[in-house]
Amino acid sequence: MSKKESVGVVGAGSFGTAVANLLAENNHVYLYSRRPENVAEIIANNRSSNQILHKNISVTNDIALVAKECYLIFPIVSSDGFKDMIRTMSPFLRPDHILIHGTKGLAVKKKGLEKLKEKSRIAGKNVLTMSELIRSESVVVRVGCMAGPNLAKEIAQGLPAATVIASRFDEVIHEGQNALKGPRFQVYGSYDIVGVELAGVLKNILAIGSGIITGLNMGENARALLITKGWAEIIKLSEALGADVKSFLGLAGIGDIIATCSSPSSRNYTVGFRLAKGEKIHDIINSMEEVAEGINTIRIANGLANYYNVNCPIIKTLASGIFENLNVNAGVEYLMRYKMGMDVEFI
Amino acid sequence: MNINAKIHGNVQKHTLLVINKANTLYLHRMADQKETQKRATHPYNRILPNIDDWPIAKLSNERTWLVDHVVEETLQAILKKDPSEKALQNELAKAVYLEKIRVERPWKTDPSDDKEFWSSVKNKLIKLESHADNKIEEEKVILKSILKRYVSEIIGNFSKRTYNFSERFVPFAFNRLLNASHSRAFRRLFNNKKDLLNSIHLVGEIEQLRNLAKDGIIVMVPTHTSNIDSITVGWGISAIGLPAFFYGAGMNLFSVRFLAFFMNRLGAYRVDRRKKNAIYLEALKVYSTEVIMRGGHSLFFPGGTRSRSNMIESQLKLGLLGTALEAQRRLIIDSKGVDYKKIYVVPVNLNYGFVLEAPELIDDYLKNVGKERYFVPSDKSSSSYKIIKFMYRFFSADADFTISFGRCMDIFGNPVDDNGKSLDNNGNEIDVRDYFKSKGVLKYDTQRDAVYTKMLSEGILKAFRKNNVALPENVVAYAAFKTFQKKHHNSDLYSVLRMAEEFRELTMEELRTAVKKLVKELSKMEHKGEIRLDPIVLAEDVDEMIKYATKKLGVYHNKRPLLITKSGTIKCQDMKLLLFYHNRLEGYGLEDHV
Repeated sequence: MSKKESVGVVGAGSFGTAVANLLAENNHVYLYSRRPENVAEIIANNRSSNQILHKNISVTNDIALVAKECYLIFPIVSSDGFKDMIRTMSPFLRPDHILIHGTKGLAVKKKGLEKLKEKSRIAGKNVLTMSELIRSESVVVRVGCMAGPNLAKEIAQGLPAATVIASRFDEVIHEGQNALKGPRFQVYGSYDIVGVELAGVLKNILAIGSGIITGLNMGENARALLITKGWAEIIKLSEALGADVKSFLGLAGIGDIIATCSSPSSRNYTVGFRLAKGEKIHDIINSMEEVAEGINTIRIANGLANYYNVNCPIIKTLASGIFENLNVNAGVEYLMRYKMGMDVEFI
Repeated sequence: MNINAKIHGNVQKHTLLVINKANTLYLHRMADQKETQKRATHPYNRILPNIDDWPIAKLSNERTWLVDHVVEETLQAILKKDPSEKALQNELAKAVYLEKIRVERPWKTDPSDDKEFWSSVKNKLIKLESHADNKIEEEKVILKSILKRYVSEIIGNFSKRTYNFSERFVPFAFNRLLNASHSRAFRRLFNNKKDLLNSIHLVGEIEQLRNLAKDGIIVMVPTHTSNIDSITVGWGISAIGLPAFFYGAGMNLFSVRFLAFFMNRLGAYRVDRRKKNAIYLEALKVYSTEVIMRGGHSLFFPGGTRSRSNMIESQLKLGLLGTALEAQRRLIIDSKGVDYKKIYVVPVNLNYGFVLEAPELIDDYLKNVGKERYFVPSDKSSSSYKIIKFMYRFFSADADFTISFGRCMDIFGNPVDDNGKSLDNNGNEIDVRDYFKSKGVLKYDTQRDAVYTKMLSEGILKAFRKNNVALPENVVAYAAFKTFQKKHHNSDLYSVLRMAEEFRELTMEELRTAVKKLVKELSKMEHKGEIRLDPIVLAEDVDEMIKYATKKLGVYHNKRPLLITKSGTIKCQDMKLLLFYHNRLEGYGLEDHV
């Protein structure tokens, strides 16, 4: 296969590696890792994040090489490292590059961060999705995002799955589909990039909540209640930010919720579970290998809800529970006493 | 053009110095103008001294060829979308149906044989349908005859003689009127005391624009609030020494003979908003693309229609903007990316301290908030007399009027430097050819172009906010309206508008406090480049600024948005008008700072 048709993956975490392996079925792949020692280790063991690498993958520490050799690049790094990554890559990027990210987090501008810490309020213009971050930090315009029920562990095992690629550009969707699709992996398209990104990001809030429910042995009824009502809050909030409700009923929405909120292999779910068992959030974060995006997301979503006056009692309670040490039982009691209105109001 | 346009850069400091000592700002702005008059009668030389070299003059020499060429290109474009006989028959049938309705209510500008023409097209179509032969040739002949008719109507005629004449005559004529109005006596008609464009201030990135217009192609996109916008911006273009622009003017303006004479010959082409059929719209787009590709500087009002609320445009029509993008793509792909002309988009803000049609506009807006209304275009309101009266009132009102030129950007909304190079957020150069490439190869992709057009429109909307000039009139109107709203904080917009007369009064103290706070925030924003300020807004003596603004704000309306009573309070005679002038500063999040 000619090197011209190489596809890049930036970030060799568990999801990045799983995606690289999927891509390698159809393409030559450059898998980039930030730390040279990491690259050496991956090459030595032919393993990254406990996954054996496909023979079509070349591991590299040279970001310029990735940008030069690949028109299509999948940045899959945690949201707190995303900005640095895109800044490092930016000098080598051109308007004809296609970037499809798989990061389920939000970035906050400095200005917004202070307000968020002081007043628990943040304006939408101070919160960036990863595709907006790519746009603002580089010349790349052909951006897309990849979201859906894609637990890295299962993809690595070769179990069947599907994802959504969202972009304003047909070209991005098509190129992404061609590169990723395979006998065990379906790829759908969407034009609503904001909706798909937000669905993927905000569902982590409910994954944490769902973990708490399990940890407290509150039962499946309670979990269903939390997820359904929490999802309604998320949809209302996302609409205020310009998303299309439909995306929340698709793979990146409901699909991802079903996979993440009931699976102990989800990082965010684990965070919730351990919280319910009485561990402190600090200790949990420090003990985890990869970032659980949901923790930060709860704080941001709560700030956005406050700013736009969207009524989100579940998000609020989770935020107080995690950041203000609200007693778990008090939180549950508050939610159960909450005034009930009509059931479905968001469609 | 022989005018005394005020140039912001030179004058700003001067104005500020004067303001601080002034008894009344008004008098000093007048004095200031005299100063400018002495200094420069020709503020900018023409960048192309000889009219024969202007793209518009060159294209007009090729008019006959151009008509045929646009007809042919449009035909190809329509067939490209769907080359089947059935599809073409459908398009023709739709056009005939719509046109048959239109010709029932003819305008003065319509050709007299309109009815017969469309009847005959209809008959031909009926015959064709009866013997479908799967050959498209006969339909093509009909389409061609329609296109020929449309394109001949659209394409204007540029005349060097008229241009030269109008350049001298128009200011002359209006100067006479102006002086008459100023002295309120026609016997002083030929006493040249006051110059037409003294009240027009030109601010912004004029040098960059002049520079880039020499080698590049300019697409100017102004905000739109008043019927006289196309005339004032036309003067502005001439005042900064640029050649005449192509611009699409509404058919109803051509029904005014006085205007039609000039517009026909100054580069205006006709846009008939009644014709909504796909064939006509395609012809318009093809014409616009061809003009731009051939180096014709063009002007569109991207909002499509006057802003009814006086808010800055928040949404743009993408049709004509798309032609600029198409032109750039074709220039690059046709030349295989070598030695192509670059297109620069220039957002322009037209800011008026007085909009004559404000009462009708704001009424329209309030009736339609939240719902789209179908406007039936009409040519009724415009007679030569009305238009002249209209302009006479506008200029004689001595209202503040500013044309603010934004920085040039490329067709994707990226800023460009003074040499026309596109820059990214970090100031690095971008090669615009890359935008049209897929895997390194230049490639045509309509869907991609549509997204780019959307990006461009987002760029223009941002620039509109940044280049907006806050006039003292807007600042005081904003402060006053928001203070009224705050005082009645429990009521919605409509109750504020319906407030009884006795509540529509503010003390000077109340207004002063609000204005001071507002100006403080505005100057912070100006510092960050988020808005432009008229120098008078920054006057040290806030009371004088308020007096100046209330005096000028909507000066010719029957009911004044704001006036100072004998007892020194500020009174609003018409809340809707106050809302209108206040709206120019909406959307900046200023409400927390009043």
